[in-house]
Parts: sequence; structure tokens; C-alpha cells
Amino acid sequence: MNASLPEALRAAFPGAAVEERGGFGPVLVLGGGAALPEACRALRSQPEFVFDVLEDYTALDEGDRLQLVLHFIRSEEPAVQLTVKAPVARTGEEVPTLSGLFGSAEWYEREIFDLFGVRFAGHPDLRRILLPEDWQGHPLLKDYRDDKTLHRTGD
Amino acid sequence: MDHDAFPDPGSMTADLPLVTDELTLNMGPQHPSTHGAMRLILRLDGERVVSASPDIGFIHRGMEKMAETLTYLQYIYLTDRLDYLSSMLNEWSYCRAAEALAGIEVPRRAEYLRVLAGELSRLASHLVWLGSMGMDLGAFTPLTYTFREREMILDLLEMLSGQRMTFNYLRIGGVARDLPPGFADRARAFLDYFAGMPDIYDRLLSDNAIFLARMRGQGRLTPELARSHAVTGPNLRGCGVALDLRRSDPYSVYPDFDFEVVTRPEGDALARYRVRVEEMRQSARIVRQALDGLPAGDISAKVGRVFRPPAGEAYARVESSRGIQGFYLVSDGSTQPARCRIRVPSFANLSVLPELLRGVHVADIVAIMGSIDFIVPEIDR
Amino acid sequence: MAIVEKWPAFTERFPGGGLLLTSIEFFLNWGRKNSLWPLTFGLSCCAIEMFCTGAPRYDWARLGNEVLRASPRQADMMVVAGTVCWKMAGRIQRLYEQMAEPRYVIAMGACAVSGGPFHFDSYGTVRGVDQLIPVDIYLPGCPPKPEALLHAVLELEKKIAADRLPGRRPVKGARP
Repeated sequence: MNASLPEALRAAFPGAAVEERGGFGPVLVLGGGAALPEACRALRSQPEFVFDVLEDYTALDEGDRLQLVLHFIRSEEPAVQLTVKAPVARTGEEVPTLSGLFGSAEWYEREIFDLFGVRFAGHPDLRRILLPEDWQGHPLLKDYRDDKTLHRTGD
Repeated sequence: MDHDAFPDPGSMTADLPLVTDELTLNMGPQHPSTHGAMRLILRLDGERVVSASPDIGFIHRGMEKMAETLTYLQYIYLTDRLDYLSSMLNEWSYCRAAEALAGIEVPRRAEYLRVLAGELSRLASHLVWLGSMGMDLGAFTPLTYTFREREMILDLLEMLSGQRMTFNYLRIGGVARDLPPGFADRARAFLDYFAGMPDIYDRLLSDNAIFLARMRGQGRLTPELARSHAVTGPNLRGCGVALDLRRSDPYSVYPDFDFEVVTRPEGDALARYRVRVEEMRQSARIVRQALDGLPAGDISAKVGRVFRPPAGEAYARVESSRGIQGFYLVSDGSTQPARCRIRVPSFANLSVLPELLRGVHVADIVAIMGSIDFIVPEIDR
Repeated sequence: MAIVEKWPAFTERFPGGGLLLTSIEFFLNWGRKNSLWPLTFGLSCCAIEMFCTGAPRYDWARLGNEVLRASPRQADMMVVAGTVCWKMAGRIQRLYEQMAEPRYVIAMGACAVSGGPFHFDSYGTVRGVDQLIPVDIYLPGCPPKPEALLHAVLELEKKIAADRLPGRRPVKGARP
């Protein structure tokens, strides 16, 4: 299954790019955040995939835009892993929520909102999860500045 | 006193409308049984929980952001402080990710030492869990037994790394120090002593009628709910799904080792308890095999003084004592990671708690939380 | 309240008054320092070393810390064991205010002393719990070994032994 997984992904997702990384499973790069629910539904239900565990869901700050990164794993043998990426704009874009498909997405999306500022349309309870409710700013963005709490090394 | 002559209170009030209010009760963040600073906002209807909503972030130290200003080597000691009960396993997943970024191959002896340290760490973590599980339910004695054994493990790990708890033992490419003289004998003596201990814990707790009544049938986790919430580790194996990365997606030298993946079908708190107690026996088995089969060789690959991996990314996981723990490192070619994402098992394990607590009695909350075995600083990072 | 604060200074003026007060202080301090009940307040890694200090090998019960009380009303000593973060800061202050006097605080571990490994580059950490509440004993270490925590408790006992009734001058040479 491992050898044919990239081919199966390319066949099922013609508009997306599939990169292969040695040893850590392929990376499926979608066109945007709007394509996520459809893709995840297919990944979970289609018999050649059955990626039923959304192990991790996070974001990266790539400077000009953000990249949503999802890591999947199969709970049945073989326990293959898969990474899915989807670029989103830094501000203003609402990504459709995955919390209807995966229960774990509810808290992961709250964390992405808390630390990156990405909003998720249709999320049942989108509010900060790790930082206090009245915190200003989204710390994991590269341009986050906070003179009150952040002492840099060498201060 | 003739109890049959007493009027049944239910019949007297049967036609009166019962007016009740929901009570909002705050559990934590300072509470002996929340396993850290976590707040559980409970809405209660009498003794039954209507909804339970965890509020986390009280130990949010910003470790993911800190990785962007520290070098790869400097960050190892911070990874210890995630799941500090099994620190070696955190370091291991981080080092695997860093090694994957740079394409470093770890020598066999170092891998065996990592397995040895990691399984001892897992054993220590399960001992703390067992002690606090008993303590949460009111049984203080198992804590004294398990901490006694844990002290012996900490003595071994202190011989190995110099530290009792947050070890800073692994390095990118291997481990920092070889086994000191006398370690193997002392470790074997401990294993011989420990062989009979899980049976003693069984006699203390597992056959106790009150313990069984409080744990059996509580917090029943179905495989579908577990998969949906990305629950991993003994919690997932306690509902029958045999996902253990050491066997399902083997890493390091685990294919060389002979051990069982422990599962139980019931999915309740008692099943998770039994899975962990059996895992203690399996971890001791692995440690013995690691000592017996330790190959000669280097304890670390040759890594330059300045670790500067090429641009790229890597996501490496290990089977931690609580589930799948992974590090997703993105490198931009400099000495500091561009992004360090920590996938912690307790975050997902805790997210299923509101489902498990719906409709239970207040007194059972502690039993269910203890059986999930999450650790809050790991969740908050 | 006023008479409680004024009577030692009043008594001191009479012959033998100082001896009486010193004897009272001796017994009060002896009772207080030998039965310090800690508050269950573990935040992170240091909390586990605090558990180990209560476990059989180190056993701080022999120093009088027999029971850990979950309620701050019943606790004498708050061992702040672990990293203090902004979300927790207000709660720590509230817990300290809820403790009944005499109350003591041990800042256990580098994080509680000064922010520890999270002093630099962390946006979520309060750099030391003494920014929030008064601290009696600072115990560095990451985490400090249980022997170190026992030492901290013994140092706190020495400090308590030098306590004076209100209105009296401090003992010469005592630590502030």
C-alpha cells in the first residue's frame, strides 16, 4: 500500500500536488483551505485510503501566507501516515471547519485560531484555547511583537 | 423498624413538579486530581454531569515559539519539560525529527540505549499514573509502593544521565553518555525485583471490590469516538484498537524486540487500567532484552558542532506512554527551526473527555480522568 | 484586632514581660513550624519532585508536613512548584489571599524563582512567582531534588523560629 499510495492520491486528487518524502509518507498539497473538507472526507471514507485519525492539525507561517498542515494516520494495519497541506491567506480568509468530520479538529482549530488568527467557518465554539481570553495578538505569527511579556535572549 | 411500612418518598412527590436548577461547578485549576493546572467547568443537574468543558492554557509557556529562537541542540532540554514523567520519549521524538531533517543515521548502540532509557521512562510514568490513580480514588497505599519502585528507576536514570527527571540525555545523532560501570548489574537487579511487583499492585488494587465498582463500566470509549478524537496510546488500545507505533509503524530498533501489544476490548476505565499495568510488564521485558542484546559501537553519530540542517521538513513520532507524540520540524537552512510543532497525545486524549463525562456522577469524574492519564503541561506546552 | 497587636509591646514594659513573651513565641513558633501543612499546588515538573518528597523515600511527613490540604483555608504553606503563566497568575494571587495567616510560600524550582528555562523568549510565562505574591524561601533547581525541598522546608522552619509577636523588634541576625 505504501508504494502505491502516491499514485492513488494523484488519481483521486487531480488538482493537487503530491510530494514524496522518504520515510515519512507523502504530502498532499491542496489548492486552498476551501478544498479541505471534501478532501478529508474522501481520505477518510474511500477504501484505498481509510485515514480515519486526524493526528495533528496545525499551521505554518510562510511569510506571505499561512500553510495549514494536517497529519493523518490509519488506525488499522498498515499504519501509514499522510500529510496534507493547504495554503490560506494571513488575514481575511475563513476556512471551512473539519469539526463535523473529525472530533479532534474542534480543539485543533481553536488552537490555530488562538495562535495564528485563522478563522474557521462553521466551528461550534471558536475562541481561544491556550491563551487568556483577553490576550491581544496571535503569538506564533512571525511578526508577533509583545514588549510586555516577551524578553528576548540578550535583553 | 418495618421498612415496608414506610411510605415511598417517590410516591408522595410523584405528582408534584420537581423544580431543579443547574449548578455550575468549577473544578480546578488548583485541584489535587486534575493532573496539573486544568479547569473543568461542570454543569450539574444534582449529582449528574450535564456538560463538562475543560479550560486549558494555565501552563502555556509558548514552547513552540521558543524553538524558533533557540538552536536545535539547545531545545532538547526543553522537550523534557513537556511530558516530564517520561522525558526520554519526548527527547526521542524530537531527536528523530531533527535527524530526519539532516539525514543522520543513529548507530545501533545508541538506538539500544535510547530504547533502554525510553522504556525505563515509560515504566516510571506508568508507576506514577498507577499511584495517582489510586490516590484519586482515595487509596493512598499504592502510591507508596509505586513511588518506591519509581525511585529505583530514577536512581538508574540518574546514573545514566545525571538527572532524576528531566534528563537532557539524548542528542541529535545518538545519546550523550554511555552506560556507566555497574549500571547493567544494577538494572538487572531492579528488573528481578520488579518482576513480582505488578502482581502486588493487582492484589492491592485490581481485585479490590470498591475499585472495581468505581472503574468498571465508567467512561466507556468506543473505537469510533476514539478514532474521531485522535485518541492514541493505552486509551485507544483499551477499546480494542491495536495501534502501537512500536509495532504498527516500527522505528528505531523495535523490530528486534519481542513484546506484546496489549489491548482490551471493553473500552471502560478498568480496561485502560489493565492495559497500563500489563504494559509495565512488557516494558520491563523490553528493558531486559535491551540490556542483553546491547551491541558494541558508537553512542552517537558524528554531528558537527553547529547543527545546520538543509531546508525541508520532517515529522517524526514515537509511541509515548500516553500515545503518539510527534515533532514536526520545518527548517529554513539556519541553526534554528523555522517551526517546531509538537503533537502531544494528551491534547487529543483530553478532547474526548466532555463526551465521556456526559451523564456521569460527580464522583466518577475523577476515576475517568485518571484512567485517561493526561498530563496538563504537555497539553499546554 | 488592636489589642492583639498592642499587648506584646505593653507587656514588654513590665519586669519579666520579655521572658513571658519570648516563651510564648517559642511555643507558638515550635507548634507552627513543626506542622506546616502544604497546599496541593503543583503546576508542572517540580510537582512530581514534590510528590517524591512526600513518597516513602524522602517523606516530608517526618518534618510535620503530614497532610497536603487541597483547600487554601486549611493550608499553612504554599509550595509553588512549577511554571507560573499569565493565565494562572490571578488564580495564584487569589489562592494566596485565601490562605489564613500565618502563611508561607516556598518558590520551588527555577521557574517559580525567576521564570527558569522560560525566562527568555517565552510569551506566556511570569518571570518568577514573587511578581505576584511574597515569597519566603527561594529554592532553585530544575527540578530541585527532594533533598533540596527538604532543605527548603528546614530553612523555612528556621525562619519561622525567629518569628516575633507583633510589635516586637526582630531578632538580631534573623533573616528578613
